[in-house]
Amino acid sequence: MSRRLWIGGVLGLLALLFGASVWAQVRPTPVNPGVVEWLTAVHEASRRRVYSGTFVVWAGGNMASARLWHVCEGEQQLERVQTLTGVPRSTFRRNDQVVTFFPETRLALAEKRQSLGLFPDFLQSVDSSIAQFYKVRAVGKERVAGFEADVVELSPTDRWRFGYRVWTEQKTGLVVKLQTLNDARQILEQAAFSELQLDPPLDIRQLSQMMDDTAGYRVKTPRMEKTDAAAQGWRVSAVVPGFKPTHCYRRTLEAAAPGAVRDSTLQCIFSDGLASVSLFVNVFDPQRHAQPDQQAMGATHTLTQRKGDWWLTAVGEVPAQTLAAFVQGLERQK
Amino acid sequence: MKNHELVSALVDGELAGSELADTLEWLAHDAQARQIWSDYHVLGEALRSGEAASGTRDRDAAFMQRLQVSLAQEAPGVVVDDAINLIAITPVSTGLNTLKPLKEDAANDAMFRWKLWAGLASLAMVAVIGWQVWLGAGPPSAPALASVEPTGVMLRDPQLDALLAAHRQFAGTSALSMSAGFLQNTAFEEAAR
Repeated sequence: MSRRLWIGGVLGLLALLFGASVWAQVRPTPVNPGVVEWLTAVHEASRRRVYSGTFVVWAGGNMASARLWHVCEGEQQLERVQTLTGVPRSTFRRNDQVVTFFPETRLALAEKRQSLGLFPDFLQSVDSSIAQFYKVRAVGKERVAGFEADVVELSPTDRWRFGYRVWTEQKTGLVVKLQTLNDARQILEQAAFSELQLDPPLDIRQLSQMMDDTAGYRVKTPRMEKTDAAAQGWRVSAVVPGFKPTHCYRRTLEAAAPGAVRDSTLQCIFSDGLASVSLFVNVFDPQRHAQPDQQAMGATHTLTQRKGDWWLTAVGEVPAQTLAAFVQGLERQK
Repeated sequence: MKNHELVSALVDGELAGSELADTLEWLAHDAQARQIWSDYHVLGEALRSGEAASGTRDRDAAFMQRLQVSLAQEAPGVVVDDAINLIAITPVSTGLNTLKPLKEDAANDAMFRWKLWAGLASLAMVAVIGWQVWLGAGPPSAPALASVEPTGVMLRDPQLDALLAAHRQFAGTSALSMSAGFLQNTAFEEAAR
């Protein structure tokens, strides 16, 4: 897609969205037709550019930063993220294949992240529901990492999800800053490029070689078995509006502490297109599973609760009440 | 009295250039001037801490001498210079409410290095609070929704942490950007999975 067409397209979309939001106030059931197109355009923009930079994330009083390189050639995308804070870690992604290197322990984890590839199709399958639950409006312009960016606010239409403020670089549409907001429009979490280079001279083959070079590392592939809730004996009776089930896996998580029991976990993932929720089901073990609890870090909330012979853990970038509703809605089939 | 005005102006960071240089020169060599200076700082401490700061001129002088001796012994590389040689040309704010970042050393702090040591603890607290306030954004009433985990990224329960990492594998369905969603989740993953 040529740059000029794209700029024209985005400007047109923003104008449409701005107009559409005003129009929507008049209608009893507001529907914003531009949201899906805007999200798809932004999503595609990041896939088709070559860029590198330093990214900083703030969540729950903590800050983490990482260096990022992103190359694409045809349909192939390669990304490398190197953490600059905390445990040294280098993560490579080739389309939906991910390898994470831990230099200190010489461990390499190889896994597949299906969700990243499926997004555009997911948007189409969800049809207009994402537009039903988020309203888009342009809120201005700001400079981020030395680039002029358009600022757009995605406001939730109900209290089951969070809002977002998105900064997209004007020429390329690349997301350069992102904030997650609660219903009081306070910032729960934010991420931004502190410095960014567009179209740097990166070699996809070199990055690909680095990803495949696991010499000296123990390679582990966590096993995950694709399944569905019904096959595992569960059903979702009450659905939180806007969220649809995406995947379900039976997996054995790595022992978190030496000597800890490793048991099989069922993970069911739900998404509304922007936020996602994971429901984990374990067999209840009184020794390991203590009090029901709720915690939060940035926009991510967790909730643990016992349900009969089972221990449920809900995790997601959603308000606590949404997690409670999810746990309530998961029922054991007789 | 003119001297009082000069000291007051110095404390408020309103002196510059030759006036600043002369005042500091005067302070360095005149015991009475130091008393005036000391009085202003006692006043400042009292206002800040709400307690009466004690100390006589003689005790201060003796303390400064002992401090200089021990500094010279502990850190041979540290040169306690004459204040006049360290003066910045442009006024440096030494106002009572100035919070200086740890790394920056105002030119005339060398003369009052002991203040830095006392300030270190309070500055660290300010930095911590500063992050919380910044993240809270919006109105000063705290962000009640986000209950901050004090131990940092790694939650106390390692099992919960493993589930968090497992969730983040898929949380990248975020439409907004492959990179942003992926990064946000990657940046906080823990090695112990």
